[in-house]
Amino acid sequence: MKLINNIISKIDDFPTLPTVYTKLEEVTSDPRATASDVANVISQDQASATKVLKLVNSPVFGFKRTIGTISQSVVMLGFDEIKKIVLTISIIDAFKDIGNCKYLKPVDLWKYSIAMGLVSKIIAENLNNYKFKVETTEKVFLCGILHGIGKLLFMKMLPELYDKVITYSYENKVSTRETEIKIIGMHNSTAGRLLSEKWNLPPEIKEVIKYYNVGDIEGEFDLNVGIVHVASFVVDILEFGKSGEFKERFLNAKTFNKLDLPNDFFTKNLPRFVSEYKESANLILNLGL
Amino acid sequence: MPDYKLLKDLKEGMVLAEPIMNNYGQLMIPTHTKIHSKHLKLLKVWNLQGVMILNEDDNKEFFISPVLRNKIRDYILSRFSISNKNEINSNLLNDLLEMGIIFHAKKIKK
Repeated sequence: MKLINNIISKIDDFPTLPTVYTKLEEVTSDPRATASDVANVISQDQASATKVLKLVNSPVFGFKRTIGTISQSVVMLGFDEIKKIVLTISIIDAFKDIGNCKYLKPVDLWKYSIAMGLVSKIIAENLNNYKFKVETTEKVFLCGILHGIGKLLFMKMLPELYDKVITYSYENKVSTRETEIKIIGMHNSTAGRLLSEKWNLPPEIKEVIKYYNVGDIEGEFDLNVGIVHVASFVVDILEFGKSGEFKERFLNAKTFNKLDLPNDFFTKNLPRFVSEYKESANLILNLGL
Repeated sequence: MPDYKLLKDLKEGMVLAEPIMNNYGQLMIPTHTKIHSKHLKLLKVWNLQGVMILNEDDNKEFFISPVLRNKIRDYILSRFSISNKNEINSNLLNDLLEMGIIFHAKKIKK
């Protein structure tokens, strides 16, 4: 119990998101905000501005022409998308300089998370249901990237203890989630959710962090949770990065069916999974790690 | 197996593995079209991210021996279980497994 209280207070003391993101939130909440207001906020933080330009010119967005300025990026992508990019960069920044566990390197966990974002986005784009597609395509990339933020948080806050969790799970081939409860007294998903509340992240991200592993919200289908759940099996099978989970996981059949993907979806998109992962993982990692 | 090529990596002479359709489902460029400079211009105007291209190996059937296929399948299946196994869309599940089999078989071959 003492350890749990200690973790909660550490999460409470965890740095807030950078000023550039909070300022961006403030500016975009004003309905009269213009693209140049938004561009000004980002441009004032030179490091973020450079990273935003690198990311918008990456295959993640796939624009044909090079986007040379922040103002152009804001106009091309819109306020929400730009906010998400700054959020992604800020979160990668917040988790840099984490030490390795014996059987899990943070860089591999990030690669896994980035692959989850990319595969989730490709799943969303291919849903047969047009309403579902429109509802989720914009949101699910960030949900995928941040699904496992709790593990990074444990690696940063409790490096020695989390090394024990990973080592024990790996050597005994048991579920990391169960070992987390045994050794730390808390799931990484609970820690991730607490951090997402502190950072006031969008509600769909909190739900994905909590439920992606089971694939639904207490038996009820949820689109973002379902997509990230199925994406995790694709990424596991293709062995992109490492999740830090060493025991077999359960694929939720109801969710798998409910997404209503074309029957040749996975083989047809295999080249895309591979090429987007290869193109984007290192680029995104180089932004902050 | 076709390759997904980003537009910047497309070159004249490559062959489309899939048709290009517009948002209304109308055919814009058919499958097996050899790409010329005019196509590259059009694809840019349509703001497509990338397209599926036949790769040279597509003409040769990629052979995976039954033994290797079973080994990879067992390896994949040892890493996950399925809740409500009887209810799952088995065609889509088989496609997920086939994706893994092709990916790992190609990796082994390399």
